[in-house]
Amino acid sequence: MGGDIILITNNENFIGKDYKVYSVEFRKCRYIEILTKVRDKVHENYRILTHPMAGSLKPNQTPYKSVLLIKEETLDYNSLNLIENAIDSAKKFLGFRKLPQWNEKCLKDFRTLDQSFIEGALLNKSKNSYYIK
Amino acid sequence: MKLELGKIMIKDVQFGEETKVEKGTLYVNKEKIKEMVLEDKRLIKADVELARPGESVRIAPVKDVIEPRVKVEGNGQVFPGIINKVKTVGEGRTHALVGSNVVTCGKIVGFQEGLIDMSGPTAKYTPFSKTNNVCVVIEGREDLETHEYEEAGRLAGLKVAAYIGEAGKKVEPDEIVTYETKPLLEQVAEYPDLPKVGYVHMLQSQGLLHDTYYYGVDAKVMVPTFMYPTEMMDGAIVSGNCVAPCDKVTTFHHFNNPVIEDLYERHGKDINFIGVVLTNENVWLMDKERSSDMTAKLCRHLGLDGVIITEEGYGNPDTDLMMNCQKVAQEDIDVVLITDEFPGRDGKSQSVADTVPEADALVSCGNGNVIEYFPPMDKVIGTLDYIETMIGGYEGSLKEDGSIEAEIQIIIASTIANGYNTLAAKGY
Repeated sequence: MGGDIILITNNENFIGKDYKVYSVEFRKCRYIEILTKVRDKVHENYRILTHPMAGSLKPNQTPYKSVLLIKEETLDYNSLNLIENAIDSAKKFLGFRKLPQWNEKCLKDFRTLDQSFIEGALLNKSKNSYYIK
Repeated sequence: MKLELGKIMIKDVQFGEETKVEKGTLYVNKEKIKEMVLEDKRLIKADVELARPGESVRIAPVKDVIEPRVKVEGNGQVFPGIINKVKTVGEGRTHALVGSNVVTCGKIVGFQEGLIDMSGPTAKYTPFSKTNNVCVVIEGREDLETHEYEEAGRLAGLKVAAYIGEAGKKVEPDEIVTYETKPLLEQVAEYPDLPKVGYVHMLQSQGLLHDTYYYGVDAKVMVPTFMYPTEMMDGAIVSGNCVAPCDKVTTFHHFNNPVIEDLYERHGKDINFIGVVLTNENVWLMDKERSSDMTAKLCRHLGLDGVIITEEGYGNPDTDLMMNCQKVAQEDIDVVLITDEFPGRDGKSQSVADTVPEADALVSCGNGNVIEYFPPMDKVIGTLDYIETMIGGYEGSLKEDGSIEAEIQIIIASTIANGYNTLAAKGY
């Protein structure tokens, strides 16, 4: 029906579950490193499906980031533009102030939110539509 | 659709045996409110405290702010689809206890909520330092998931506000304002020579704790639609958002949207205010495309000449804001954007996370990164435990004497992106 869908994430809530629609590429790394990984994938002809700044939580506030991408035949310039903007913005915020030392309760909440941004978005659409370019 | 909004001016709030309004004073029955909140078994503790303008009081962490209102005539009840039966509202007569608010607060999610100072140098940043606040301090069960806690807190606030609102049902209002928007063809015909202006209202809808409800529907699963502005004045839109305090559109702001207020003010004078296009802010790019396409289509369909667009939040919603702006502008409709900015303390960095060439008219509601000093207060309603982990706070924010140094984005509604604040540009 279409190319592979992958989730690039540093959120351990996604580990070990079978999501069927997408496969999970978990990395234990910082928020900004997820964004650069997404950028690298875009250069390997992956197209971004979910906004890299989802959640209105600023890059110096939440440590977690998850982005869904789909494999295409050619480079998607919109995706490239989007991820480069997100990286610029993240660097700007991290330059203002570094990430706080969150306690476990806050970290858990951040993980739950990050997970909901991805899962919530699946609620309102027909499955085949993910693959439509 | 025609709504008479009866404003009952509240100048003081006190505890009393009976919840009632007498000579501008709101009396509330503390025990009744506690009992009402604890009906929800997800909440294990509830208390009620009062905060009046000028008092040395700090309220934190604040979840939602809700003006008490009641339907007096016309269909439905306030907050349809959430705590009352679904029924189209916005017509007839509604009474509002203006100058009073229900503030839900207390031990909540660690990082999302903000604060309100009732006096001192930082009181000026929030409109809620000037209102008589019935603070409902809640605590949820330890094992409760964050989003369940949000729902319990949201419903508690709405129920209490509706209960207090009932006290205004039989009170003669100090002022009655009439708002009217006619069905489209009649509305266009009423002022045929005036430019037709609409309001594109973007609702926060990205996921858990980032939700808004329209007649009980989670905005992320709806498609853009058209609504009469008066529906909002009866609580058709309810906030479930717990993101950044400074630009959180509370339920109070949905009742009292300043864009709608100002458009009505100019209605029939130099513009013809046609109505509201309601849309959402999503995570999937496909949803953004669909919603912005439909928003532009609706604006064109309504024959609008000009549109004002507001957003809620930063980052991802900036993309929706710009997509809406671009597509509406491409329909040959003039567009003005309203938003707040996060350009760093010196204001020199990029203000929003996305932009398009069509975004050439924008009203700013202030810079959320500015740092302020919050002197200690005699009394804290809620807790200061979370100050350093709130958005705008940081390690070392909270001093031993209870004073705070933090970015103004920690203050509820300080840079709210619809202009209901003191940092907005204003014309005189």
